[in-house]
Amino acid sequence: MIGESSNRIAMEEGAEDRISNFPQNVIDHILDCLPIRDAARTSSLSSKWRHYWAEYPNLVLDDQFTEEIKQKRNLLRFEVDYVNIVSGILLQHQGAITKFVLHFPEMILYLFDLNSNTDEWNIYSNINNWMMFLSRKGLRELTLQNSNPDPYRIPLYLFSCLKLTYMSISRCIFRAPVSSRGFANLTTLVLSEVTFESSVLIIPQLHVLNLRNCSGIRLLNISTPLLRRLTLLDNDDFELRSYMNCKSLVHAYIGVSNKVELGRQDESVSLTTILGCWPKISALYLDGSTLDRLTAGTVPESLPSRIMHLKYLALFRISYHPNEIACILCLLRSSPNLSRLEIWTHRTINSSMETVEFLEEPGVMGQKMYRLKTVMMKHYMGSAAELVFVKLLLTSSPSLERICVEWRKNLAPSERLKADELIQFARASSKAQVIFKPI
Amino acid sequence: MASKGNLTLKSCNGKEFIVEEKVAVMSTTIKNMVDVDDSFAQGVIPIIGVDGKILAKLIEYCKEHAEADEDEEVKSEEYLKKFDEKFVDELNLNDLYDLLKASNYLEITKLLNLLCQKVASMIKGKKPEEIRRIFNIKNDFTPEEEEEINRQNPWAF
Repeated sequence: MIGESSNRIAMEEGAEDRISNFPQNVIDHILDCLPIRDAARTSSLSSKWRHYWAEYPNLVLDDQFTEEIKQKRNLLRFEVDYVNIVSGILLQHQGAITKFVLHFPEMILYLFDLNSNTDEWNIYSNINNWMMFLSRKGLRELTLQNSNPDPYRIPLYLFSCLKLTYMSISRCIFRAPVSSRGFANLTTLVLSEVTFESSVLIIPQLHVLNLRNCSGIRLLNISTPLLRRLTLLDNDDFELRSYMNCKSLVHAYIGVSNKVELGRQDESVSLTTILGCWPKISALYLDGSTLDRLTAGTVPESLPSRIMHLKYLALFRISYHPNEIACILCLLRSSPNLSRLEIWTHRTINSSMETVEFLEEPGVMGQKMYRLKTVMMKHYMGSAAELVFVKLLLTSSPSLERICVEWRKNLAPSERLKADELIQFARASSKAQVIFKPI
Repeated sequence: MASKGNLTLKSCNGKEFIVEEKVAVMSTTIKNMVDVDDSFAQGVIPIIGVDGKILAKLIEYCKEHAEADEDEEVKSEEYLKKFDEKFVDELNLNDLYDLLKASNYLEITKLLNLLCQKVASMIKGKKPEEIRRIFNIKNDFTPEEEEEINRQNPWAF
């Protein structure tokens, strides 16, 4: 037997099989470093390894896993094979499954073959069964990544996984049952392209919340008193009221697609009230339309209470409307400890004379930004408004170390000439460098 | 006795190493010992089950990484990556096992991760027979059992 001869060779070399006797945590760690296919293959090494695989608690069935199945098979049988393989993995499993990642591949057969009995043979009914199984396995981390055009309706079993600490879900329909006690241990929740139906969620330990491209935002009633990081990007509505009690928030990333209709402005939610509610905020990302919505036409000179912890401010999709610029100046005047500022120009830039004149008014800044060290001008288009804005930053930032201008390579030569003027501008800081970086 | 800011680590075969505290506390186990009991910080910390040769290796690794953690500019990510690669490439199988065992016991997370990655790279893409040969794992299945197992996960082969 080959096994015996290799034993002999190894014994001659003095190597014994120590790896099979390592503690379970080390074995699991090694399996974690392998794609699931290689991890599953170790089950045929020996009876010990068969157990290690059966009890391995982190099942990552990601897009690499589905791609590998797809490559080896007849595409028309793919859905059946896929379901059988995943079911097989789960049926072999013993003990807890603490981490489960599932990428639902796009189901070609299902789409082509709508006349067959799809009610009975539907990928989602299989996923429901898997979720029911998982809900009894002590799940802590769950990722569901849906590549099908149809959203998947989250089954109620999921809401009974009370040990969950991490959940990331895409393209699903989400409705929390009324009886749900919420997720007592959840610290991270990431939802993208999720459609909410009326849901009340109380997540006392949540630290990270990320909602992107979601719809039905108004139907989500969420309470997250310990939230530290919040991302709300391009959802179907602008809803900040739920986050006004998040006193521990340190990081906020808020942008709203221009496609969302204006109106239904909640007057109590403004730049002043929101930043007043987040006393610990240290990194803030806001886009141009969020600035517009939070000021509703009336921009204060500066905020009544200063944003003492703010170190990092990034303003993205900025079109240089006078109102936006007024907001940015208001934020700068209200952030005495700001050390890094980023401005990302939007392609719809509107460099009106009004903005330029506003920025060129003598004493428009009204004060110096003593702590500002780094400025990034991203997607720089070379407009007059951007130019005078940089000029203003150079003259009002005595500690400035560098301004990095990232411009598009396809900028017309005449625009580049204007950009070269930047180097000539007067500077309040002797060590300020202007760096150009084509992208 | 080690001077202030330094700790003395003693291997199971009696070799003593004086190391900076920031290097030693890369090990969570040592960090907990020092935090809980001040006498360890003054005297000698015995490192049970780890011999001098392996302890020297551990210290070599922790030194590089502790300095990098302190000042990112001195040692770039790229430099550390190269160091890590060379570090694991030079190990024979027995040293690899000893270091795995020691870094698990001493809870040096970064090193444990690196070593597990190394073992995984020796398994990845290989047939069970090759893996058994590399690690000298004895196949204790009967031919019938082996066939049954391979049938359970045909997709993996």
